Amino acid sequence: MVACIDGHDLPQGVMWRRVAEYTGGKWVRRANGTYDQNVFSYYTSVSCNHCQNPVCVKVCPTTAMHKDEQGIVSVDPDKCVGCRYCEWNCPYSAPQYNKQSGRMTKCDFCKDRLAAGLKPLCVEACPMRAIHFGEYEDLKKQFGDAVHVAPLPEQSVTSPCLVITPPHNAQPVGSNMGSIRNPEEM
Amino acid sequence: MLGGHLDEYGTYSTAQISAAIPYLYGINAGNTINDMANSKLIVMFGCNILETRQSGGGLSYELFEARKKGNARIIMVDPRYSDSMAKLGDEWVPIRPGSDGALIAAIAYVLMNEGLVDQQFVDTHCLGFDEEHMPEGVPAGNSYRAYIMGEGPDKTVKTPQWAETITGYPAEKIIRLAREIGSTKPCCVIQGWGPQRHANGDTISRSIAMLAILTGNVGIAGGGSGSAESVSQIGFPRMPEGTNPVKTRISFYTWVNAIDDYTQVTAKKMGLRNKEKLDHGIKFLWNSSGNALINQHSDINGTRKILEDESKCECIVVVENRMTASAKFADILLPSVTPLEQDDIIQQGYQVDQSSLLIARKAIEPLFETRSQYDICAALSEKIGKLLGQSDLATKYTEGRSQLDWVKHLYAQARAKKPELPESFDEASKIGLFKWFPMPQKVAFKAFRDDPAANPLKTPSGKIEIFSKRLWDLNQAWELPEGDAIYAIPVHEKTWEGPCDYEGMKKHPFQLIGHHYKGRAHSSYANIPWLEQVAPQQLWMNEADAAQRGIRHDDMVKVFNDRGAVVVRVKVTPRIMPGVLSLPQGAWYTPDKNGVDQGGCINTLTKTHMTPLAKGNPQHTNLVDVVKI
Amino acid sequence: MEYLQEFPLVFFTLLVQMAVGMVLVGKCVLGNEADRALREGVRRQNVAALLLFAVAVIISFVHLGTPLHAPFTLLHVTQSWLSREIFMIGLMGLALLWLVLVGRKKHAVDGEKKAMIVAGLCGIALLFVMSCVYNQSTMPGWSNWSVFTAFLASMCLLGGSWHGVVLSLRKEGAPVRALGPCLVWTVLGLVLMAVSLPLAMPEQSAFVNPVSRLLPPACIAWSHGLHALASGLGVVLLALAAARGMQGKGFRPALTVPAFLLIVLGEVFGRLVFYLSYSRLGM
Repeated sequence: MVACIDGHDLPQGVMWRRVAEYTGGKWVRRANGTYDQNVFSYYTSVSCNHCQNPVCVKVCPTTAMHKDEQGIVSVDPDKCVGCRYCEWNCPYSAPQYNKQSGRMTKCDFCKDRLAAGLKPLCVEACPMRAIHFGEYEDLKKQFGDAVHVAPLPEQSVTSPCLVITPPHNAQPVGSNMGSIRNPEEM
Repeated sequence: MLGGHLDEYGTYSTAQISAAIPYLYGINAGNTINDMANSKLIVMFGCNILETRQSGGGLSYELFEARKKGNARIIMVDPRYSDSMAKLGDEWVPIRPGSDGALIAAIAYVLMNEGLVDQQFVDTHCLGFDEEHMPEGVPAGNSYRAYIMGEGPDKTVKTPQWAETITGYPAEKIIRLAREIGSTKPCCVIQGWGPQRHANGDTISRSIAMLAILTGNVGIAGGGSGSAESVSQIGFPRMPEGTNPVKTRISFYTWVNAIDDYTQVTAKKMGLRNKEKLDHGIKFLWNSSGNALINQHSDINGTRKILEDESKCECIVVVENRMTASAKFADILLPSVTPLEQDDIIQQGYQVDQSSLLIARKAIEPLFETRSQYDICAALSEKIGKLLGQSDLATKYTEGRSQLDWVKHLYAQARAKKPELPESFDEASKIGLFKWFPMPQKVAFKAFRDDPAANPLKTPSGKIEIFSKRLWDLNQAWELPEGDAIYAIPVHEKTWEGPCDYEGMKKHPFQLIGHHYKGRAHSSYANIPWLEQVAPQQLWMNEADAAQRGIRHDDMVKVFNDRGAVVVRVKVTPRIMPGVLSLPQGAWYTPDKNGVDQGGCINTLTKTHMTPLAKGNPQHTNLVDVVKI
Repeated sequence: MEYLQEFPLVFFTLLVQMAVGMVLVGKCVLGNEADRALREGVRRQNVAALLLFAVAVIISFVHLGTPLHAPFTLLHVTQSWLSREIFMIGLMGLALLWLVLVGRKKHAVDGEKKAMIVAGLCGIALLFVMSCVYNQSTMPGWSNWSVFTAFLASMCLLGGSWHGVVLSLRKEGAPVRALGPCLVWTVLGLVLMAVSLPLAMPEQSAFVNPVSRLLPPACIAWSHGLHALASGLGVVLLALAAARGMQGKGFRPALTVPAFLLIVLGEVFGRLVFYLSYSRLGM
């Protein structure tokens, strides 16, 4: 998150990448004061999934939100009117409103860096090397085509170009075993 | 150069483990993280590598890779479900802070009862396990076995039932855990620096190592000493610090005592080394790039009273580039450059699988009147030289080199170690970062394990001293406050404000720890709004505890005890044990006009009570209460 | 979605819906009357409707981040319901303008009636398109037809009760024949609201991102109840007023004005709760 904020000079409140902490489980106290628990927790890091069926592009009234030949979904600031309708619709919170410019902004795949042969900022910054990028088909070959997990929505909604390797304690989409516990960080 | 200075020993990071483990093994060492690829089972005590070793080093990634290679099962013992647990843990064993000694004593009981102790290893490599292997001059009943089996002075058998009330972890789970540890080899037992930062850290650190000893996992690949991990380093030369003719050392933690009442800082009372007592107190403090003065040292309200008394410490100089809490206590505040405004040569941080060298050239010239530490000292040496009539003092200090010259000089010395580095410094500057990998896997005490007679440890007996006669003697020789003691064997040590302080809990029912937060490095970068946005300062509180007090997630709460009060937002979560709170350390102390800290700094609540052996910081041992505001 | 975003849209949607309602109810109030004074009164209300509509459009402009780009919002009518809504706003504006211009020709009575019907139907179409903006599957809080019926309810309640006030303030008194349409439209609004409310109850889907919710579901349920109460009371008062009027005791502003205020209060509150019942799928 921070590499992206730093690299793109994002003002406070605009986060092109967001990490959700999905946590659940309960504590049960025994009579003798000891405890049993089944707590689980994992993180999901999402920027924009440059979906194949992007709802933001469909609903944008001005065509500012568009998908280019590379498949990257981005906002044309010369057209965007700042109505925030895309923000209402996106099930990943990708479009982020910039109060200072009065326009929507979002992850644009660091396309300027890609053009210069560099990697996106988040890919380079992740200390666990957890973020990879590339053509969707290649990523599926490399990492498998696992079904998405909570708190992500079902893939059928917007067909996101996002391949995930589920954590060992993952919960299925729509699970009510846990919930997002760090809303203030997103 | 000016005749020497009072030196120190120990650090806020590792005081207890650094002091205590050498009584066990002669030195403090562990296997390297990459050795975990050889483990079948890894048991981590308060070891949160994925949050505390993310940046710079890469230990987090190395641990991840080692686990992928070896596919070990990982059990994490921690009152908090850390991010390491989230990513790598297969099982979470939550125990009350400071109760690790009890858990391990009970595990030892099960191992002994069920024949899971590596008896052969313990007999040949250790001293003090049972009555038959004790040193001279110690009364009967003081062996480790006697302690566990209730045949010692306390007449208490360390059963899982005894341990479960102390730890909060059910007895049958302790038994299951013991059986797993005892029957899986190689088993790597490892601890972070959290468990030892307790009032009973001197014994906790050794207790955790006992697991590795009892199961015979010391000195083998995939095993470990039970202490913290070691790292592999090439070890490039650093700037020379000269030779200090003064050999007297105080414990790092007692600098405040040396200001407040130096007559108390004696060898017997406060672990003064190489001298019986101090001749005078500290009258002048020079604090460079450190925030221990006020923020990172215990009991801020108590400490600031001492610092504010100008009859005690007469002058405080702080060298800083941010207005930290410590900077606010300066009589003279010298503005320092940031890393971007100076040339430097930096060798690796905490890494295992690779070693690195960084030529960090300045990005911009120093702004305003800021100067680097080196330039400040060089200028001072010239002025002091004039005052003392030593005209060559400055040249002696700088050796005729500017800071950049020193970087070039150290680079040349580094090249001597690694000739493959470019000859031209300018070329090296352009490349900037050099890496060497992989580094060798290290197994601590392997030679000793393979042949203890030929390769004795640096302990008096040459063996692992489960019972340490030196500690036994120290406990008699030193003057310790009421309730403190030094234990010759790793016991469950009961302390003030620990998990057994039921009296204290009547007034302040919660144990408070201060975990090290991924959002900053101690107190550095705590003031960055971007970081605060994605990693805000929050008090971790269990859901059930919060519900009982009508506290909801993201509410403002006041957490307090007799030493101070802190106002902070709360994170209500199942990821911390009931009865336990955690206030991540390093937040900036920001008192309002009533003295209530609005910044969320844990040291507003911690106690200045040095640990018996290491004379160090017990900053995770606190009792508090919390209310919604 | 943030709390502050809602306020301009609350008034934008209500004012648009009220304007449509004023025209429709006005047409019915007018009926086939040749009463010149009544015609004049309805004509004035058509101008008022145009003015309220203009204020609504200004408000919607102002709530945009970059208002100067507003013309571009017509570029995506092929796919975007929001773009279609802007288009329909434009159409409605033209229809109202035409209506007012026709009204200035003193003898174009039939033309004026036709223009009112056209504007009214255009308005209903506009409300339908407006509701489609909210009725999207990624926003479960709004993803049902209660949005449309709620908009229609607003249209009926606000238009009907406004005309009630206007009629009750006439120096000449209110023609009894006109009271019927007034009341009928308002009651129709209440019926539409009753139909909306069960559908508008907050969904409990596990797929919803709880972070996206602005208000707890229990709050939403209670708030809808309060809204219904206020509107119901308003309609009761209006009915009382109409009953008295039909009995020849006079159609009093003492009853119609509070009725209108209660309905407005209910509508503003209800629309606010509508926006606060926003929720979204996923993360």
